[in-house]
Amino acid sequence: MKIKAKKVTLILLLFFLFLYPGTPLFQPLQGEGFLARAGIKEGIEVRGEKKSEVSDISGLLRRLGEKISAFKSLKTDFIQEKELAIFKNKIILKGRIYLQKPDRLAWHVDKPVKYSVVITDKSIRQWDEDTNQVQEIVLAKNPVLKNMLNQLTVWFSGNYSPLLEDNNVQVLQKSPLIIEFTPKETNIAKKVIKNITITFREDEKYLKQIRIRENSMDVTTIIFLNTELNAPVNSSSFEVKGGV
Amino acid sequence: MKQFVSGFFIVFIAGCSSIPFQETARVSLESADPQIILERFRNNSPENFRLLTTVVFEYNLDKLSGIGYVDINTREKAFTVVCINAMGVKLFEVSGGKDGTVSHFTLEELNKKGDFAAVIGEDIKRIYFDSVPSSGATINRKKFKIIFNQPYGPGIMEYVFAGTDGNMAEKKYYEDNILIWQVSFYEYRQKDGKIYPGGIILNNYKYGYSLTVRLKEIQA
Repeated sequence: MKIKAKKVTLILLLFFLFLYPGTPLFQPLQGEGFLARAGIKEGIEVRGEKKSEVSDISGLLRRLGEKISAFKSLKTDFIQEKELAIFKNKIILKGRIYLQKPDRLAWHVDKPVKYSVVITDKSIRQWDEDTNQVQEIVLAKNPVLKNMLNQLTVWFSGNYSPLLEDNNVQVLQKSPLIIEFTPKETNIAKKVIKNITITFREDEKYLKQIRIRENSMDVTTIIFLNTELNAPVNSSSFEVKGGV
Repeated sequence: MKQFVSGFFIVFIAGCSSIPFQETARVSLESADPQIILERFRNNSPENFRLLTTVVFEYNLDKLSGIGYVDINTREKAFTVVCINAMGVKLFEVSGGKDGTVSHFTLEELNKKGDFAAVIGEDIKRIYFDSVPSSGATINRKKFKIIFNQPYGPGIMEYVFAGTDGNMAEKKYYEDNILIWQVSFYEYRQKDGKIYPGGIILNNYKYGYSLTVRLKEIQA
């Protein structure tokens, strides 16, 4: 009956990843006029205009991926707003994200509680100030989880083709670019997620925010601030305690 | 069902650990009037409030933490609680009142271990409801604390008032003279004339788990 905390961590992380099976956590872009240069002026699905051709969306996602693959490191602040249908007030979490290609991701929460999780190709380590415990999952012993994390890194590496397999994708707005992902019936995320919209900055270089609408009517919005591409990232940023 | 519930907490909860809050001050209450202490605490206690907290579940060496959002109405004995993890993933959403507890959402893995909503509901009630003894409670005076005892369900509830302001420091529930559970309250804070414990520790000796609640924000 006893399950170790590591397993709990695994369950929660799997759940978290399940929420985003076809959607990158963030998709920084480089270059200007991305949408136009993606060659999707005609035929893309813009709400209220006309139906899209799958090949056009596919082209858009492919080109987005090509842009993302241009950077080696990323650091950004974030504000996560959790609007719970059952409450009027929002829960606000603030923190920082660091990414170092090819395989290191750090997610640090500063408020309301200090928490860190660092994901590499070998392990997941997490820590929070209340328990003051570091928990580690060795991915070599968890091939299923490793596979899921590989998918996560694929999103960062720019391979967006799989998105169309699991989601209906449409462009809601051209400027600033807003893309909506709606899980298909066959997507397990359909049980939880109504849709996910990703808003890019005006210059289309980075993400501005991700909004996740759940079937429960809860809404999670992650707003990215002070995003820097290819900025030096201190190695301590990838330590669960040192990053806090 | 109890086995399942117990099992759930075996999953998550760890046993003894040092108290992460400032101990209640040892102040003499020998000259204090128990009824005045009680009346002041009753008047200072909020009826309706909303709190942002962090929660740690402990069993043996295993710990699980979350961020809790709690809405309490002590008069109606109604509550709503939502717990998310630090990455913003909802773990559970439970509400309750005089008619029982309702689970609006529970992470599937948590529910597999038993009636999770019922367990959460009971712990919320232990922490936030029935916080003031009735006028018929028996009084036992000690140098540094005043203890009120009264029947509660099949057992006895003991309320311990102590500290500089004489606030409730402990609430203990006994059955057949065996301590079943205990809630300790620390570091009271004031907002708009009402007091809120900044730290709470619930120990469930029957099932061997504890909850540590840290107050982050009062949204009364």
